[in-house]
Parts: sequence; C-alpha cells; structure tokens
Amino acid sequence: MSSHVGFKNKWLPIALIAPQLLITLVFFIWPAGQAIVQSTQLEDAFGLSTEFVGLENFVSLFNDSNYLASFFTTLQFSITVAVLALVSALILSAFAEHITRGTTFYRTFLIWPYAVAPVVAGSLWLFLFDPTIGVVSEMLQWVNVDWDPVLNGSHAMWMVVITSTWKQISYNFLFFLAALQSVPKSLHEAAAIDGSGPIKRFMTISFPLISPTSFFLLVVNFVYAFFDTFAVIHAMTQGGPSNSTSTLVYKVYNDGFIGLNLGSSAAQSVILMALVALLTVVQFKYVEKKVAY
Amino acid sequence: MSTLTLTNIAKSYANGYQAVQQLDLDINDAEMVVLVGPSGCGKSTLLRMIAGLEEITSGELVIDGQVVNHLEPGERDIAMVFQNYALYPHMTVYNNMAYGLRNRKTPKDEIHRLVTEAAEMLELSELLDRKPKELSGGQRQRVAMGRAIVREPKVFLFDEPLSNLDAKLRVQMRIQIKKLQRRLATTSIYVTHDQVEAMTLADKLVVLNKGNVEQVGTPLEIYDNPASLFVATFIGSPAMNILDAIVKPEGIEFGTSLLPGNTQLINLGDVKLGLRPEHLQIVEHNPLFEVEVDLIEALGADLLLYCNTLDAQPQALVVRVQGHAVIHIGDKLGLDINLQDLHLFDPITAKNLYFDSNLLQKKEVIYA
Repeated sequence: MSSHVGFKNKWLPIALIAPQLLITLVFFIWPAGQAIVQSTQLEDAFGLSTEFVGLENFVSLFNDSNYLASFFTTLQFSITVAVLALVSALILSAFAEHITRGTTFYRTFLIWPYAVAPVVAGSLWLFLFDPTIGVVSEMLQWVNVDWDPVLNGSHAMWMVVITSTWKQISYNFLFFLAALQSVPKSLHEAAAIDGSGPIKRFMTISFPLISPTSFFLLVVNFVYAFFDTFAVIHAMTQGGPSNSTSTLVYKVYNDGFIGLNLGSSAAQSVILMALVALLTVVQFKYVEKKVAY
Repeated sequence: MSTLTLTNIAKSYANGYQAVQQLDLDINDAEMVVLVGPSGCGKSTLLRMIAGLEEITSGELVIDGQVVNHLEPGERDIAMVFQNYALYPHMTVYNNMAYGLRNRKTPKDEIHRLVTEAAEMLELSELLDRKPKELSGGQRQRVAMGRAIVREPKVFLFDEPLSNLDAKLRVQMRIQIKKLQRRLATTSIYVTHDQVEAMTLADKLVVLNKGNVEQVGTPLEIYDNPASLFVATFIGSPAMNILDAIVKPEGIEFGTSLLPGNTQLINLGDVKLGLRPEHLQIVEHNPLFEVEVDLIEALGADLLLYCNTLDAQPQALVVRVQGHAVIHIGDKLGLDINLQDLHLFDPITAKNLYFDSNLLQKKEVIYA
C-alpha cells in the first residue's frame, strides 16, 4: 500500500502548476537567460549593432575601481542593515513576548512598516531626514550634528540604512516572536528555579534555542539588503552623493538604464545571480541541518 | 533540615476564578507530602506557588522560618521536576545538571564532583555527554531528577513526574523516587492525580478538591477513615461503593435490608452508606443483603464483581473476592459486612458522620 495520493487525470496537475511555471519562465528564467547572453555582448551607443566579446565585460568590471568600490559599499550597507534589523527586532520581540496588556496593539503596529511600499517608506524618511524641513535633522541640530545627506556621503548612507532597517524590522520581529513563543515555557521556569535571572535566561536558553531562526533571518536579511533595497535608494539618494550609496543592484540599473552600457550592466546582473544562488545554497544546506535541535 | 508552613494560602485569577482557597498546611522535615486530587483541584497551582512560578494572592509561605512569598524561584533554594522534564535541549546531560550550580557560582571542581556523584546515583554516568533528544523517556526522567538533587536544595517539588512514562517504567521510577527521597532525607512535595502513586509515596497525603483541602493524613488513615464522600470515592481502586440509605428510628435501612440499632446519635433521614469492595464478604447463610452479578473483571490476584442489589430500585456495587473464586455472571450472591467497616456520609454536606458502629447490631435480613 502506498500512502501516495495521486491525480487520476494527468492534465489537472499540469493546469494547476502552469500559472506558476509561466510566471517563473516569463519573469525569471527568460530575463536571466537574456542577461547571460547580453553579458557577453557589446552594443554601440545607438543600439544599431552588437558584437560578441566573450568575457570581456567581466574582465573590465573587475578592473573597474568604481565597481569594486560599489562592492564594498554594498557589503557595508548590507552588514549594517542586517545587524541593526536583527538586533532591534530581537530586542523588540523579547519584550513583546512579555507584554500582557495590549498585545494585539503592539504587534499590529510593529508589523505595519512591512506593509508600506519601499518607495513610500523612502519618501517618508526623506521628509523626516530633510536638512531643511525634516524632524530628524532638527533633532540632530540639538546635538550639534550638521545633517546634510545631499552632500555628506556617510550621512546619506545612514539615511538609507535606517530606512531599510526600519522596513525589515517587522519581518524579523514576526519570525523572532514566533520562535520565542515556541520555546517551551517550562524551560524558562526550570531555569528560573535553577537561579537564572531574566536576561541570563534569554542568553542561555531562548537565544540558543532560536538559533535556527536567527540563521535563517541572517541570510534573508542579507538577501534583502543586497537586492530589495533598490526602491529605497532610488527614492532617497539615487546612489549619491558621488556613488556613496550606490549598491551593486543600484549600479546595475544606473549603468544599464542611465548609462546605457547594457553589456556591463548584464555582466553585473550575472554576478549578482551567482551571489543569490550561493546564498540560497548556504541557506538550504545549513538552516535545515546544522543549527537545529 | 527544612520545614514548610503554608498559612491561609489562596490563589485567585484576574477573572475571579479561585484556584486555591484559604489553605493551611504544615510540612515536616524530610517528609514526603503528596498532593492528590482530580484535574482542576488546584494541586499544581499550589506547587507552582511554592516554587515561586505563580504569585501567591494572599497568605504566607514560610520555608525554614523565612517568609518566601516575594522571593524569586531561584532564591528559594528549591528544585522542581517537571511533568515534561523541561530539560534544556541544547545542553548535554552534564550541562543540564551543572546549569543551576553554575548560576550559583559553585567552583568548577565542586560542580564536577556533585554532577558525577548524582550521575552515579542515578546510573547516568554513561550518558553525561548526550543531549536530551538522544535519551529514552526513563533516562530523561532520571536526568530531571539529577538536575534537582545535584543542588542539594531544601525542598524537592515534583509535578506529576511519572505521567509521561509507560506503566512498567512508572512503577520502577516510583520505587526509585521513594528510595532516593529516603536516602537524601529531603523534604519533598509531590503532585499527582494517580492515587496509587499517592498512596505508595506519601508519608503525608493531602487530598485536594476544588482548591480546598479535603483531608490530610497518612495514606492508611485516609483510606480507613475518609473524611468525606469525595475522599472516600477518590482514594481506593475500585472506588468505595456508595449506597443510598435511610436512617430510621429503628435502624439504617437500605433497599429492603435493615441494620437495626440505636440511631439516636445520627439525624434521621437520607444518608449515604459507604462500603469498600474488599469489605463485602460472600456468605452462604444469613446474608445482610443479596445481589446479582452483572459483570466480572479478572485481575489475576483478585476478581472484581460488578453487582446490582436485588431491590425494586437496584443499586450498583463492586465486590472484590479472591482471584479464582467460581462465580458466573447472573449468579445471586448473599453479602455480609463487618459493622466497623461501614461508613456513613451526610448526603448534603458529604462529610463522614463517624458514627459509632457499636450502636448497630446486625439482625436477620428482612425480606419484603
């Protein structure tokens, strides 16, 4: 006896997965293929002729100091966003778990930023951080910080980091809260009887037990910071000032659609695709096996 | 060397539910106290209040002369064995046992000595490097015990520690717990709903019902003299037979039977009559009353006969006889009792009337 439940009609399962397959083909596989083809070509400025150049686009990328600088910017940006978003979400969820009154209120409002479109979040924070009319810049004046993200590269970087972090905290919060709630209450009680205070309990019991979730979120946050923050950067700084917030993804857009250097842009896309593939492999390999109890 | 005194302890929740009501209890040094009762009787709540896991609404909890109401669980010097063991899944057996000692800043070599000793006592020495998920149910249970004894606390608290084990293991662990408690001579409080565990483990048995203490005593005191109908039916398996009877000036009448005697000391009217299954004897001649066998359960050593009285309104009762008695379903049996084995309960307050059985004399059965 097999426990396998199958369809009798062989067209029904195909019909059911067809929409998903179609979307994947049209929006992912086809463009990815196009990018790979294009990355080996050089096109003239008017788009009249293309020439096969092999790996030349890649070679020139790795000799381009701007590209390497963008790599560094992206790492800086992603690590800061991932760490900030993870730590603040963990702290928030640790406290949210102990709230007895108004639980729904807190949780609902902590989850809201996730529902805000990135461009809207970008414009919103751009207002707050505006050097002339922004609330945050006004407050920074009080502590004698001359806030100017339009000219100061590190100010601009902090601005996009904070906005991107703000958007990602909700997601992390949800996962951390669920993970913390799945730690049996009796473990906390046993630890309390063993003479461990609330902070020590969190560090020695809860935190190790939610490490699979933490690792999963770390990977997800990196992917988010690498790839999903385009809209925020586009709305706030357009990669400026002087490329200080130009991440790899933003550079793909900028070189391809503004600079019209399609070959180089496609080559950058292909490198990013390889990165995503790597992160995905890491996630599948370790999240499921290594860090589980 | 530790004693516990509970004075007027009560627990009520925000929604007004009273889990424990005005409870008094004294626990002596090295005593094994078992809290027993059906689910929802407040026994676990009481234990958790003693542990410090639940706030005490009112009353005073004193351990060794010190009021501990507002002390954190870790400061009360108690250890608890949980129903699901609550072992730390990410730590080895050794670290599980060492965790509490480390929190108390015990020196490293002292921790090593204590853990090794406890592991030896519980036959866990081979398993010290394993994680809880690599252990069987019984082994996990022993680790939970080890975690408790390694700290040498003033009081052990057990919250239904055996209910997740299979029947055979449960009996083994029960005996091991009893031996261990004797050997360590540590004051212990044990919560269970299993009355066999309660009877076998307790030095002092506390029967709880709806947040109230129904009776406190040694297991045999409680078995022989249950203070109320609740205790009478809760302790003992199969439960005590309870029959409807009427106190009349000339004696106690149930069904068509009458126990003649001086009933002046008891209020006239309805009464509940209690008889343990093993106190009913089958007699050939001159029975007090007659029953018909409805169902037979053979337990090997004993035979349980589920019978109905031969009255207009038959009442059900269980008779325990020796395992190989030749009795069949449908047999009519004559039954007799010793008068001192008879209990009378007030039908309204459900309290034992502790009547003087010398006032009754058994006469011949009156057949209608």
